[in-house]
Amino acid sequence: MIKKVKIELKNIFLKLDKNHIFKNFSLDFSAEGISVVLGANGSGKTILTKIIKGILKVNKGKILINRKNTIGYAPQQVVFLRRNVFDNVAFPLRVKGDNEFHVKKKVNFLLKEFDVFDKRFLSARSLSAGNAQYISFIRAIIDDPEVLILDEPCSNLDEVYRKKVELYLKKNKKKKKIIMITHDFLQAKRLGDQILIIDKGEFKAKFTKNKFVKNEKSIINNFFS
Amino acid sequence: MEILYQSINLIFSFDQNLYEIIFLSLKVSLNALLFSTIIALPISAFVAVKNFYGKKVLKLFFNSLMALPPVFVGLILYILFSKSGPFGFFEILYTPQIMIIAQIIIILPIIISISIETLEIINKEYEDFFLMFNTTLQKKILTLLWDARFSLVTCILSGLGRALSEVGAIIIVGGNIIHYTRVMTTTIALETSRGNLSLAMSLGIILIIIALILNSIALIIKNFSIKNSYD
Repeated sequence: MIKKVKIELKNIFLKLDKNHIFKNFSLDFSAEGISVVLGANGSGKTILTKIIKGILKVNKGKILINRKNTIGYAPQQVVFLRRNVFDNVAFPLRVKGDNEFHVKKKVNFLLKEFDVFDKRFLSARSLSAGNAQYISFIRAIIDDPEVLILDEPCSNLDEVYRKKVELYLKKNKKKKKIIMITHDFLQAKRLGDQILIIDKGEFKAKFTKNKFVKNEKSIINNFFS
Repeated sequence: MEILYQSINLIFSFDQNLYEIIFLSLKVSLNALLFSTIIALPISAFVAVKNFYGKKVLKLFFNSLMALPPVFVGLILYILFSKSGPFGFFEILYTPQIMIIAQIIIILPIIISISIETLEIINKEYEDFFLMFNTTLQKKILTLLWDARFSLVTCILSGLGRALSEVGAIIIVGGNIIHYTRVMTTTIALETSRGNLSLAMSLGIILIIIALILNSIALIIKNFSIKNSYD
């Protein structure tokens, strides 16, 4: 069954350290599939993900999302507990109060599925940037969330890991709403059902996959030249 | 030199009085440490995690209490628990129990203040992490205490060091009664004034040995944590 989740931001105002990040910013995501947000550095993409996740509170405006939906989040800046990989991946389940048998089963299953079972007892904080990002992705999906917010999930990944992440997203895009930030045009073309462009805290344009692919050159000229 | 020789002799003669004093010292201080730790750690973790009105003032208050003069603590407890005092009915003046209470009052702010500092550093690292997973206050506290456990042992040991070396408060509330409330530090004070320097010196040596053992434990734990922590 296709999962539909409505996520909308209405007239958002946000000021951080005296800088206006968003001034009357509005954006609505398609209720299903993968929405890819593209934008230059400093356009406010990461802050946008933090607002949707509820980590950052806005000064004014409305974020329309059913908070009852479980939201998985893989941030750009990976944060790990001072524990091993297993415990870090298990944390969302333990916070929820799942029993330890279930936690162990689920974490081990996913670590095997993503070919990192042998890394389970390594210190999470000493992982390479690529491995850390990959483990952070696994942690975001451990709870099988209904909404998945990914902030540049593949920026440090090698081909093998990137393919695994993309395969998971393609397989699961009907079961969950996925919002993904990326700089990678090719990835946006490969994965995005809806492509949104923001720049300097402003919403610029929204495309369906077909329109985006057809008008790629003019989009690059208009927004990224 | 002769005093040193006599005191070492006394230590190895396994004199019953001497070891009674040592065991009472350890009993009082370890009990005080246990209760202080149980009280201090949740308070420290709560203060480290939670932002609330007056947090800075509360931290300043705990910091100030670190410098609380033990004789003053002893005096206040004496007034409160003497027969004519408001808590006189407990009848614990001149007992080991009130010595434990006095030591708790002295070391509690030390453990709290040092632990807050340790836990705040980790909490800062984990702030976004906790928000990401909608972590409850209780889970945050438990996570912080577990992840900071090795550093916290060092904080707790500094409290034990302070408790063992304390004399001002326990001499007032304990009364330095032989076979009952006489501990190492109060004995040293008494025997020095009496001129019995060999007993005072042997207890002094034992105190130094205990301090050395405590520091060695702290160092071992620190090394262990560097090897085994996932930092």
